[in-house]
Amino acid sequence: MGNAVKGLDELSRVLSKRHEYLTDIKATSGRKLIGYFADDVVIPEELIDAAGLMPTRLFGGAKSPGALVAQHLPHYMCAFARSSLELCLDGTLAYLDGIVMAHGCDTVAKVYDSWREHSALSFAYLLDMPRQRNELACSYFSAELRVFKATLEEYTGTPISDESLRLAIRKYNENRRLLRSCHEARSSGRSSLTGSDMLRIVMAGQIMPKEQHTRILNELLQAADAGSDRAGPEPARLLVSSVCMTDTHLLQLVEERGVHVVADDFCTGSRYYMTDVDEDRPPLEALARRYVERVPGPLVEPLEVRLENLTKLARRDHVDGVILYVMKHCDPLLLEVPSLADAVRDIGLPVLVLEGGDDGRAWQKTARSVEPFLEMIRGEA
Amino acid sequence: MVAPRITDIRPQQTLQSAAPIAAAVRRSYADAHVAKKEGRLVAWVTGGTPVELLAALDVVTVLPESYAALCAAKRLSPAYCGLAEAVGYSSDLCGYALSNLGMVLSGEQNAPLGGLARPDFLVVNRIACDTHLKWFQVIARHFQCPILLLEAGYNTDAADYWSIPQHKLDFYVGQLKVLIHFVEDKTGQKLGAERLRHSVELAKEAGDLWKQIMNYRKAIPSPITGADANGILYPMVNLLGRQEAVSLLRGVRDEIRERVEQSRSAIPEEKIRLMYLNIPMWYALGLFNYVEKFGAVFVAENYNTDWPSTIVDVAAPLESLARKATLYRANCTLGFWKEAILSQVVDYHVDGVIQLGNMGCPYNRVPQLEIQRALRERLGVPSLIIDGCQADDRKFAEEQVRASIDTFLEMILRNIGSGNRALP
Repeated sequence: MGNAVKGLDELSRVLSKRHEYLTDIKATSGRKLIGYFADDVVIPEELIDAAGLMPTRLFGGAKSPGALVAQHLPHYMCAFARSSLELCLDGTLAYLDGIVMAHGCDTVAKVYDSWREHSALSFAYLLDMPRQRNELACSYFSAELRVFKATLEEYTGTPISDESLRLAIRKYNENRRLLRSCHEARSSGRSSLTGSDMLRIVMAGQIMPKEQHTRILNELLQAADAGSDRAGPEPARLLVSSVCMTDTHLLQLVEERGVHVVADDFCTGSRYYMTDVDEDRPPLEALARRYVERVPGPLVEPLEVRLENLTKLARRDHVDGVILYVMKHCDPLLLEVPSLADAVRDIGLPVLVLEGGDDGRAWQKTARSVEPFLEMIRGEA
Repeated sequence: MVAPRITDIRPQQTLQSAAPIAAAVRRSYADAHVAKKEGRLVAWVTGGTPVELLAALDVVTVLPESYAALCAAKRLSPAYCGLAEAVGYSSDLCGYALSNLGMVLSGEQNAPLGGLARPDFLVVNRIACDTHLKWFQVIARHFQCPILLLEAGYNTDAADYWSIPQHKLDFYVGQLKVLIHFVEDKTGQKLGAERLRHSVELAKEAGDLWKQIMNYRKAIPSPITGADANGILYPMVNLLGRQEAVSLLRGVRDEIRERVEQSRSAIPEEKIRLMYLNIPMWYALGLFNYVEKFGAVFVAENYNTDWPSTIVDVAAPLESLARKATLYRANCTLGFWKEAILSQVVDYHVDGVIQLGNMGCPYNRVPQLEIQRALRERLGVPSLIIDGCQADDRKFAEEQVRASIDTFLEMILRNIGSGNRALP
């Protein structure tokens, strides 16, 4: 398992030192860095990549209390969005050349204007995203992507050919395929990969160049194929669902108590890699279809596809319980949590709803709430 | 003498023409129950839904958010919101959504005006917020009825109705056609082109009257108060496409026009002109009269002045509805919204702005500091953010809000007294 540990260490370093890492990447690659920010997997990184730019996801994580952002955004809103803008204002994200945001929710759409107005970035773009999943939406999003493509071309001064877009699609599909293999390895127990490892793997992949990430995933998987380190009785199995998990605290807390997070439902998890772009369709149309028909997050219509996906995940990975983790002030998720919880109970599984921010301050309280639930799913209660 | 509590002040309306509108509001809920018994289709719709199209299709429309406002004014929201919270909905959410969900999910039998007629289907016009969609998804599951979702392409670039990209118009028009076919299939009746055109013509007439009414509020002194304005919006919300809306708004327009021609002031001595941003706190409408003791009057509210009202071409009815939806302020990037507010502050000669810091309203809460900053830096106009919810008075800190409003208005009065009015 040496290569697995080495690969995980490398990805953990990217995550924990991501600003230094990205500054180096920019200097060595000469590529412009485009930060992207969304509350779900709705930004087609493939198109940014095909333009010769490097997409890198923003996760918030400001260490300061947010004195700068407090001049622009109220405290009672998505901590993730506030924290990312703070990092922009305090110069931490100085390596970025541009920002792409999606109208994935009301908050992000309005925060975009603060970025455009108060950052010194040379490129800022807001991509619209339909909530419905039908032919009208695919056709609309295709047209939106054509406009986005033309704007990227204008920015770089270079046309994006169909061939370069196809290459980018293949590169991202390959990366997603490997992520699915990692998922399979952790949920089947075939490897010692944990839920928190998986979160680090996906988040690092959203930050770093895909080529490098893919290389590390290949090494990781070869090591995983060598067999599992896990011994002893099969642990209880858990599914964790959230809008966007950007912190390993909760997953580690669960794992330290002997429960295996075998499945997840967040945009830094399975929602990112479960589906591919069809390589046989015209590339822009294929991209549009993949993102419109994406694994459903909180803002899709109908709600039933979201509920079905959650229960399908729970069944597929044979989980013993589900934790629904809600970010404070994430209105779309707060409005569907009771329905999600009901759907889980309807298939006979216990469910725990937790609410928190992205700063980890509430973890002690969370630990107290989680313990009795874990006892129950471990069969000890 | 102890000052009256804002929530105890009964809002005073000065317009005689507002009384028939209040009656129309009450009647519309009763009419929906009658329609239901007669087998006509009843749709629950969100604010800004093109009700003129549904009127042409003979669908009776019900607005749960208007009803939630009515419940808030009757101080019933805390109980209803509490019922929603009891089944897992966060108290931080939209007061309208919580109030309606609490009432519906608990099966409340004694709601005002006989409650809401059960819907056959729901229409969400996603031009204001995603809360509308998520809230109605829960309602759809409860009643086991379909949702028809209308999404306007988010506007990042178009400065006017004619600059909207064609693919955004096509998207919205396509969804309107799906809605039309859905209703036609239910009723077996085809929507005739003439019927649609007539309905949209009536909506245009009502919209034009609305703009005239709002324009008359630029007059000094102001012919009406904010309390008046909050009582006359309903025809724009739910009666578009009907002659009734035109008649009601014509009555209001005529009364206000007469006042302006006679330079009649809505309050005894107008000293301060105010703008209100966000949704009114329906349980504290007395706020709009409370400020009168400082000689202050609300002359504009984005809730009213920004209500979508423009039909650009009745010969292209569906495309006109698409243009109207797309340029609704909440469906535009903040830059457009901010410029519109700044223009209104200038046009309406506003001395100060009061914003509701409404935690449950994402599209209003996120940009409030940016708006405050633009007002201060670009126009020198002061603004105050007060905390509260539009429906749930448990979130309204009466003493704190009153003290901050008093201080704010005294400051403006001092500035005006020393010749420092922000705008001419």
